[in-house]
Amino acid sequence: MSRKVLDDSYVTSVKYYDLRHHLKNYGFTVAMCCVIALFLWLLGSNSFLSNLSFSLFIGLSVHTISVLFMYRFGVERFGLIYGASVPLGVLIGYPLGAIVNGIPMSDIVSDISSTLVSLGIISSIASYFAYSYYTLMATREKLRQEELRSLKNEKAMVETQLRLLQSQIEPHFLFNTLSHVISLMSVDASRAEHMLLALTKFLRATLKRSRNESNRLSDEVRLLEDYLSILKIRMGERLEYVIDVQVNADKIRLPALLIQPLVENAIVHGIESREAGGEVKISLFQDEIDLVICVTDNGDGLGDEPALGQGIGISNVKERLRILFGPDVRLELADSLPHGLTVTIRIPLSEVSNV
Amino acid sequence: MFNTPTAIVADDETNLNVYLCQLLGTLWPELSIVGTAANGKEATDLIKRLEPDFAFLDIKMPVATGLEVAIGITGKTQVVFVTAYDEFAIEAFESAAIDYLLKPVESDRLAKTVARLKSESVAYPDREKLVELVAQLVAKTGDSNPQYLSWIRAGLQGETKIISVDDIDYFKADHKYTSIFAGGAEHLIRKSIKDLAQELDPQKFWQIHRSSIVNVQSIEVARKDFRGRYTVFVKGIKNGLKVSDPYSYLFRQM
Repeated sequence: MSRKVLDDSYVTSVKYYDLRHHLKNYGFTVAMCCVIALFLWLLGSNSFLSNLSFSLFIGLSVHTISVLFMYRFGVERFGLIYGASVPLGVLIGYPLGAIVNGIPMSDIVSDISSTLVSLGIISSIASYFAYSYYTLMATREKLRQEELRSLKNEKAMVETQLRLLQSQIEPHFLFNTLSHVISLMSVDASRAEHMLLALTKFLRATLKRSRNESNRLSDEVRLLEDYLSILKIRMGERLEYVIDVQVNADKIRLPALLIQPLVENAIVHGIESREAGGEVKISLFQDEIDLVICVTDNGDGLGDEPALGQGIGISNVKERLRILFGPDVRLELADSLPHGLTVTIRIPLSEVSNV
Repeated sequence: MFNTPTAIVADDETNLNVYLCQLLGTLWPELSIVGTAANGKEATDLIKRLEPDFAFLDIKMPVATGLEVAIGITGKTQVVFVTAYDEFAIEAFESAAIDYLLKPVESDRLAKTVARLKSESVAYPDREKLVELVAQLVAKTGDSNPQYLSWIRAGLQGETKIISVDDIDYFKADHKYTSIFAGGAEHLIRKSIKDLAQELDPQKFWQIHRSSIVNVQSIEVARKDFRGRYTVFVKGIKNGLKVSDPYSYLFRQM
């Protein structure tokens, strides 16, 4: 029988390889044979020992054949296995029992009616027990599968929630930006207007992201400019930024707002908490195979040694990339020098080229 | 109050500082704004040096938050918190009847605060109550960070690499160090298996032996031998990992 590996259960069903399991089952069969022998003896046919030897030979043959069949055909087909192994086992076990008891074959053949009765009783009892045992096992397995399925559904639901969460706009960003617009209205109306327009475009892109739409890279870059220009107005000299585009951004399509969370992460975790602020650099270039997106900051970085709970934004982007492009897309982190973090994404050009 | 009342305003965004000063100037012309701060440290220094009557503190500021600044105040300065958005803090302020302003600051709302600050002669809010509340909030904000490791910085032939824990297949103790196996590559970190076990998400990582932790997603198969001992096989790696008895319950059938 082939090993059974459940899709998601991580653990193989190992019990058919397990000696202890087999010993237990054989023990059960022997016990059953004793009961049958006792039963037949009470009914008054033959001595207990001769009954026992018959039932043991038959029971063990049936059991052994069924085990062999199980390895050959797989345990799922227990109907077939028992349908075949019970008569076969009886055909082998009964003559063996006769030989041990010194009963000549001719007697068995001549005493055919009582033979058939004993055979019938023995095999139907054995079949009944075996059948109910495996039905039970099958039901359990089914239950397990169902549990697994419901777990999977739950997981999918959580993932959807995660995506929804991701597409939400950061409230600090929204309210601080609006505060700024109000504060600028009487002093610098054109800057207030610029800020409000940039915010509008950014909100529209956020909606796009929640619907899982894609954007031309050139539009994404404009959005990043809008987003960063809002933050630049707010943070003043504390924020510097560079967007370096070395690819034909009209020919590439990307999921909406894929890069922005990395920029947000760089600013919120890297730069905003620093008294002097810092710089974010976004580079987009390509080699023969990949589109490379690089977001570098000179902020606080991940700190020393294993980082606890850093970069949830990055993990989300990573998960999103995995869902959208499969496991081949790479997202890598590295330290920037002298301090800060660099996040690099590589996506095969074939996945994002807009033909 | 016989002297001119004084105040400082602290927000890391300069334009917002200017705007709040303007609003205060209109609503409370007698109030003299003696300083503005762009971060928590500056705010603390200003309060210590100038001992203003009032401090308008933005909660989210670099270096130290408005909450942290507030706990550090030892003088007479009364605090009004300003925040764009802060679920926990607003809830706490509401329940403790502590004054706060929401950004964008509305002049009607600010007028109410001004009226209250003018009328109350005793220090408000109660210092001890505030300290206790803020300490709770600071602790809570700390807790809201995810508890589990998500990235590990490791050395690979003299070069530092930052690895996502999701990419790690298993960890194995190596004397004082721990070896990380991720996609066929081996990295070394200076952290013991015992410490790692505390910091990894137990839903994703199972400790299967005193000396090994395995990523559940990477387990291809777990085999049981004749003595009932399990061995775990990880994708792409030939040798299995032994599961010691105390951990074998992880693999037993339901």
